[in-house]
Amino acid sequence: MELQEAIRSYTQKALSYYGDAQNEEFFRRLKQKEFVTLRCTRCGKIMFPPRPVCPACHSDKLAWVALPRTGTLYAFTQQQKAFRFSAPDVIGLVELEGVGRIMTKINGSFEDLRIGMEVELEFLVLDDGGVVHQFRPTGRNG
Amino acid sequence: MKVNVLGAAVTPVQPSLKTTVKEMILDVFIRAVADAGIEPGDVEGLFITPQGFAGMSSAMLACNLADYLGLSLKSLSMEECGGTSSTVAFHYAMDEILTCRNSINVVIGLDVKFEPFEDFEFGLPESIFTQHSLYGIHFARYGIGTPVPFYALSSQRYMHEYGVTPEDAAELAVLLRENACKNPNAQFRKPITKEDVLTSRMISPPLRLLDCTTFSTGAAACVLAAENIRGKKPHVDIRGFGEFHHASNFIPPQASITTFESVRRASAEAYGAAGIKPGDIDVAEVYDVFTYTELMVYEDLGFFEKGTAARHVRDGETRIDGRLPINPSGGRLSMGHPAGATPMLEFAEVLWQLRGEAGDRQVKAPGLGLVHAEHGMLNGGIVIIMERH
Ligand SMILES: [Zn+2]
Repeated sequence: MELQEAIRSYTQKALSYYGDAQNEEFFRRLKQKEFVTLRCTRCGKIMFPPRPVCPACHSDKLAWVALPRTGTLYAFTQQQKAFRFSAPDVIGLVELEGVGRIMTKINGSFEDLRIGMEVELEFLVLDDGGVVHQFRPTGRNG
Repeated sequence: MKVNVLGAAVTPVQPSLKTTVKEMILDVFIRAVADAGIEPGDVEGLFITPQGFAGMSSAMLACNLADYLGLSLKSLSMEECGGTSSTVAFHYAMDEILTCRNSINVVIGLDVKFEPFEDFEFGLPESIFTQHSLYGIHFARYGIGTPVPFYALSSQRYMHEYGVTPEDAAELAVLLRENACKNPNAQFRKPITKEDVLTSRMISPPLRLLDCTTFSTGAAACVLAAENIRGKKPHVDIRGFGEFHHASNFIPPQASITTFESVRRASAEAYGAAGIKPGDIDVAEVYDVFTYTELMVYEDLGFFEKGTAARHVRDGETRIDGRLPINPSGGRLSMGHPAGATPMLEFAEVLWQLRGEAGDRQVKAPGLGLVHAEHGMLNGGIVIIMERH
């Protein structure tokens, strides 16, 4: 089996066992260029990744809300070997106000990145039609 | 009521399976029971881990062992909770003695290295994508196929927040290799220099190859008993136990990634139960898989102030002849890391140290020893404190 094909098939198998409707909805909306997550309507907690029940108060009364499209680079690294994207594959934690730090692909060269930089959202369309989020430096500070 | 530690046995840590899984279990079982000075038939409970942290597993291994080992048992089970699995099995075994249900229990941790799908360090594509429990489906979409990037992000923050350097990390890797060179059961026994570490292949910056351990194959067993049962070896018992699982998976959105709540809470519980302070510990084995992380764990166990572990390591305090020897076995970095077995390998090392049986790497007359285990990126942890009487 080709590696990329294997990864797709394993991912599908994993989702059928361990996924949930909220995760599926997140990626469905990403395809429509919406960057959203769930907010608890009882306690106000914004959770990421989205999930069926609020991790703070366990209510299932949740509503989709837009996530901020700019944030601050909290930490970054790169995989020297990457099996899904072309190597080296830059990965980072971006701090979004009111949400916390989210793990994301970064569109930028490792050498040019600095902790504390302002970064903004982009949508990356994959060859299988799926979409993932990534952030790139805005150049406004850092 | 106390729980005595009668004996232990380990296999050498190896890059691949040399015997079958059942032969490995039989081997450590027979030798641990012999070390304890009891007969196999004296064992009332057997508690094991799954056979592969990241590879093939079975939900019908434990139930086959009563027959294979020729044992009629009052308790028989397999426990799973990531890297803490064998200490969770240990917890169960200990409680069966504390509640007076069983008198003698055996805990076995084991792991078979998953054979990579491709040439890929930590290369586990199938298991990553089919086992949500490893790294999470949300991360898999972003091409995260190994735990290394998570630890790299944490290590970069540690450098950023506390001024720790690659040289500091290399110093620790070299020290652990020196210890492993004195351990016949360690997988990595070729001496290395700081230069070797600092020029080894970059995996995920700041982590280079020699900042990381690798998955390995191995098994380890220990024998626990009620307080009225003694073996022939020096008397060692369990003085404290602590366990904590934080509500997070690898990267918490808000909690720190350079100070680990699970380490602080589990160790605080264990110190409290033992009625001691971190400074009272004479020898420790900690579960870490990366250099920078190991330094953070030293601090979160309360051994050193936050951000200062590297300085204490540089000053030689954690060496075998230092003030607080840590990972005299060579640690995960140089002993090798069969994850399911790792905490029991640590436990066996501390037991031998307390009994004065650690050979060339013997710490001078330790009285109190500590074992630490974790899962995720330190999202959960267990701490065990043992005492030599
Ligand atoms: Zn809530």
